[in-house]
Amino acid sequence: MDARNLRAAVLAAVAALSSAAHGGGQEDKLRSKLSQPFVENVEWVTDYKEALRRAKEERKLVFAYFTRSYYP
Amino acid sequence: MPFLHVTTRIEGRKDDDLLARMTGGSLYPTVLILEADGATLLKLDRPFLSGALSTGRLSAASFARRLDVCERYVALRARVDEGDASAKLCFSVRALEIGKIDAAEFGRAIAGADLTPELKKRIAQVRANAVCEAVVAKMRSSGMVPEAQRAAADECLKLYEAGTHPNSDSADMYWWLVADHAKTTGNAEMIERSLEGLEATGGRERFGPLLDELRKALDARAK
Repeated sequence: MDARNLRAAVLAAVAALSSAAHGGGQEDKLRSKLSQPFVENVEWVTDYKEALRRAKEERKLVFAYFTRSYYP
Repeated sequence: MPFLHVTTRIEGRKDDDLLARMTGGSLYPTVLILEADGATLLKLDRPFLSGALSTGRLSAASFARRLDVCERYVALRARVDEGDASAKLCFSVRALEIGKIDAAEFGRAIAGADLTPELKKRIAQVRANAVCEAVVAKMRSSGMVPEAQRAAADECLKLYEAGTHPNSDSADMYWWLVADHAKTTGNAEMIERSLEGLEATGGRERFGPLLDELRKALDARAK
């Protein structure tokens, strides 16, 4: 993985731990989560098999971040 | 390769609880470092992440170091698989560092190897870290019952006597166990060392009352 991209992903994900999803409905919460800087500023792959395929092709490791939209 | 998985509670939407299938748990957030075949090299889950953030143990630099160990493990394993015997020792060290093998298996892997003093010191540190992580994890998974704490304390005291103190994620718990023993025995040197260790591992916030008790014990010994 590109070192700069990884650092951006890590810092953004770590910062996301202290932020809370806002909004009333579940859809709003998901939209709020996906609009956070840690999502917008990193080129995330959201399909697991695709992530593994590309990692194998590019001979890289996968940085996998699991989160939820309905709670921080 | 950054992969993002967001679990939702949107009605009518079928969410794949991938994390539970991969790790058997659903503690959000969780960071995994995976190989291209999906094998987990490193797991940082919610209990670790929240504790590490509050004590300052987690930073981009410290994470980058962990990632570096993972990458070196994979590269060294490839060399070992290709028959490069010179890579075996370093591969075993990395495997121990990320928990792929335990201390006993590591001991067998390096038996008879010719070690430089520097490598011996490094191996002692890696081994101490691995033992610390294993005993603390066992203690925590027991629900911190007294028997498990005593067993963990016994192992930690062996490490203390050997002179190589862990500097891994659970080093604060190591110093807590050592400090608790030091408080009971009144060993001034151990009390001082425990105080330093707890302060260095961010213990001020988590173990404030214990630190105060230790200082009082030290002052009492000095009088």
